[in-house]
Amino acid sequence: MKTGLEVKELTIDVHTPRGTLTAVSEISFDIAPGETLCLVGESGSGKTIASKAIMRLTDYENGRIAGGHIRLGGQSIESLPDHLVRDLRGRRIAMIFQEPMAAFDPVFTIGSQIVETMRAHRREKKSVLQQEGVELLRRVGIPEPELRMKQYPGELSGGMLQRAMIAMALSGGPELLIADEPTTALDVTVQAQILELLDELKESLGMSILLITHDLGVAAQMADRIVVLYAGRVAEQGPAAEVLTAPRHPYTIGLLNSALTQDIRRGERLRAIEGSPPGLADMPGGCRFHPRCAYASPRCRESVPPLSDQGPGRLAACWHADEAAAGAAAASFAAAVQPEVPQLQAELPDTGTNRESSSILLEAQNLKKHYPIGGGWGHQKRVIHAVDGVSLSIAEGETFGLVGESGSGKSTLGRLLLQLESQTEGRVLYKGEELSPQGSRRWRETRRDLQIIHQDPYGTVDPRWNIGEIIAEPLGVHTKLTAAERRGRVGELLEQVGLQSSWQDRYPHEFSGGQRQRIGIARAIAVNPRFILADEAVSALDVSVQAQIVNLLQDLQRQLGLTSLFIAHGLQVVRHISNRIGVMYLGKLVEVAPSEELFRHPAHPYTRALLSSIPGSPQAGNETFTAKGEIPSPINPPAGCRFHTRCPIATDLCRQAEPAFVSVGSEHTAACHYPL
Amino acid sequence: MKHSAAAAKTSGRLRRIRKAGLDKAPYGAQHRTSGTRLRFGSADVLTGVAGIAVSFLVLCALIPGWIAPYSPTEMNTAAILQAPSVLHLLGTDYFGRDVFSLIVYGTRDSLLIGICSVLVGVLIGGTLGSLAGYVGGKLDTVLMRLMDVLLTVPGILLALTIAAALGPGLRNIVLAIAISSVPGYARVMRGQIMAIRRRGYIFASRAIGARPSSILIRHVLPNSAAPLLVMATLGLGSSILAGAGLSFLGLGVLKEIPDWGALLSQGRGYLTVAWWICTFPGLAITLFVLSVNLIGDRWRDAVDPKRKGKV
Repeated sequence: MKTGLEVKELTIDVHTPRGTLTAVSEISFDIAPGETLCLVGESGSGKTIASKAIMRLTDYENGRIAGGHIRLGGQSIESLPDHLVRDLRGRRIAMIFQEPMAAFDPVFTIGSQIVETMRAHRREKKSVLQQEGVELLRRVGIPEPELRMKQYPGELSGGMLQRAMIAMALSGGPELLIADEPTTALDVTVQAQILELLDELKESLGMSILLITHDLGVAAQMADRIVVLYAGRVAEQGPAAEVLTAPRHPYTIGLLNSALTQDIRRGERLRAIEGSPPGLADMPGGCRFHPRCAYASPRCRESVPPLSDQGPGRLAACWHADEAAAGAAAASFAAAVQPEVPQLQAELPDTGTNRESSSILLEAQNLKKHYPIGGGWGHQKRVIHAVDGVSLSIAEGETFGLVGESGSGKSTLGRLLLQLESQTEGRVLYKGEELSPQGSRRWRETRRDLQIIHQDPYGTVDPRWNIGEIIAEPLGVHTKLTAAERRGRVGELLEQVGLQSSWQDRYPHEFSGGQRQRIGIARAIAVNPRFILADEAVSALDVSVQAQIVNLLQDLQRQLGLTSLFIAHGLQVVRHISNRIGVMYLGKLVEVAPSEELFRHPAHPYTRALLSSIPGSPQAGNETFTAKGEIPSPINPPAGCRFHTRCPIATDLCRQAEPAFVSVGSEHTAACHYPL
Repeated sequence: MKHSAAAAKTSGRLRRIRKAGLDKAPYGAQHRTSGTRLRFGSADVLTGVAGIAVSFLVLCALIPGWIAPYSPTEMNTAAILQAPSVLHLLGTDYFGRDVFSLIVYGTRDSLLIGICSVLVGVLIGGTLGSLAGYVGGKLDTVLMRLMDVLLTVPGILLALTIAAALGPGLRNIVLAIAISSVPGYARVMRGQIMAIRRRGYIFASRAIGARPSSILIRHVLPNSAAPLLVMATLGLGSSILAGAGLSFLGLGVLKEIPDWGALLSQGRGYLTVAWWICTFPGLAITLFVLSVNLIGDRWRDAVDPKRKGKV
């Protein structure tokens, strides 16, 4: 009976206003009981829709299973009548989603939603189910489960909600758990906790897990086997360790090269895959990867490569798998993918070797930003301590990285440094002079020197402007160029960021995410700024595209001699691009160090916990040094050292006295009573 | 994907149909494309018909004498309350006047009342709403409470009061209707501006040092205007009707040639014996409003860059 899930040649059509599109073509995989299978792919690869088809949820989204079979324990799902499919959902197959906040109904308590799920499948007294719900919450590691049952989703943190979501999924005792990017919306320390929980549950309950992720690190940590999807087709599949260490499809190879790992030398050019994943409406013929592939031959353009046997348990859909694998093995793949790009090994000056002598460009002195909230009729006035006493200095030509979990205040600090928000206390000095308050004439003039690259390349461009106008906007504000001169400059800029100068009259919606981020970069460098704030500039992009943008940023920095502040939650990206890194926690800077030094010898327990929770890192999994729980509310930050509530080595001293910055090496300081 | 889905939802069926037709035939969808191509044509034909209708009505307003078969003041006592026939296309009224000619001659005042009051209302309401939404703070509170006060009085009652205070006449009726429509436009504009003001590209513009006034004019207003345009095209109809109501109460344009609204209210008493007297002026209003809506919808699509570039 128990044969797990079997998906054979599954094809899914989606009806859109533009006609019927094929989202997924002939994908096959199976999951044995107790196995974790990872579906890996970029946006548009069809991984989510494939997983929804397994529960027949595609029926509700204009999707149709156009061919193939889905069998669970021998039972066909694709043609099951609706009432039987409903019985299947939640009982034999359960699903957890990317956004735990959005997956719960905000007007019902957690308890009532869990009980409701259970009642969908069996008749039982409410009190019995209630008790079972409490047990489930306890099982997934939620403290005080009786209390949580009565709380509303808005009262729990993201990590807690994702645990509750898992508890809900477990309530039917499913054979298969589908987890669609379950940790993407969570902080890295919480992600580590959730992944660990999933693994532990799989072991003890013997479920199968279908894990969908874009993060190869997560896949490496969790998967028994991996299926790599590209543009709705399976590119490669096989045992996780083999796929990740000896990939046979050029796309997998490219993905692995794009992903930042600790092995890559800092400042080195990443071996990005060119171009971006195709959209559903304009799939290339033949092998769908051929426009981006270095091994593409006429054969690839004409005929679709079948999934062929590549050794025990391994399949790849490539006409040139042997060649590609050999190339990757010989590590000469980089030259093959981008033959025109020389291997730039130009050394970024590591750490501020001459920091003392070089001038300080931007300096923050005891910056504080408090947002008042509440204070309405009869409400107590409270304050969010977004940034709480941060001092730092960034030298000319330096790239300063800022990392921390969401809610640590890093974006607020970035905006304060540029004076896009005014501080509650403290000073910001630019070239030794205090930056003028917002809105004044002097302030507007300094905008020319201080530019910003935004996180969201979609939302930060006016949809009614063409990209020529968008890029020229700062030129209009700060220069007196004529229209023709502006056009010329925009053309130059477009080429500088790897786009075509003739694209000026196109509109933002015609570009992909990566291209839009290039547009954002062109706009930021248009008036030759001295300083650039990159606020999560690559976080929203696909892995393969992210590598391109990181390369571009580094090239530009080198060419233009820019100083920058690079804010990101992705630790590896920050390490790769920065000279020095500052770690923020709950509005305070807790450690500052040259980037290699920080990764090699983290001195603050929080930094060490952050590093060990990077999925797929050597420390992950067997590290005892993890942060418990989640980041506390910035409304009432803990007294003493703010990290003491989560710190494994906290003592009474930490609970009472706030640690001062101590030097733990050259250029390396940490705010901890017991630096590691 | 996300953008087009959201846009399609708001823009209604017409656009979706046309968009489907404009697109290249996706593979494996032959049976669908043939169907959509047909409907794509009909949507375009509809806009064409709307264009012809509006042009005709504008001609009626400009040169009624060339179009109407009879004089609007000519009372044919031999043909009172006659049903539509070859002689009197849309019948005659209780004075023996030709209804078709009355409608043709009434076009001018009706269109004037409708268009002018909408323009004035949008201008005042849009400006106040923009100010309240963009400046915010105390100005917002004061302006919006004022609008709330105006909103508590039913629109027609407000127009009535204003018209009564100002006295009858075309200009006063336009002003009365415009003022009564101001709070609606102001509220919509304010909400729109407040939403757009928080968009990323406004922050991005601020970050490069653009002046607040230039941000308002170049980014915020163009992106906020669409809902107001829709509201304005819909407002045309209700303005004409409001004008009719005022005329009916003797506060309208006191001329021997009634506008559509006056015709409508005058014919109401004869509805049981002569349905044609108020039916056809009503249809004229419907025709005008519907046509303007169709053209407005098409025009909004044409200026939306998101649809311009799509193949």
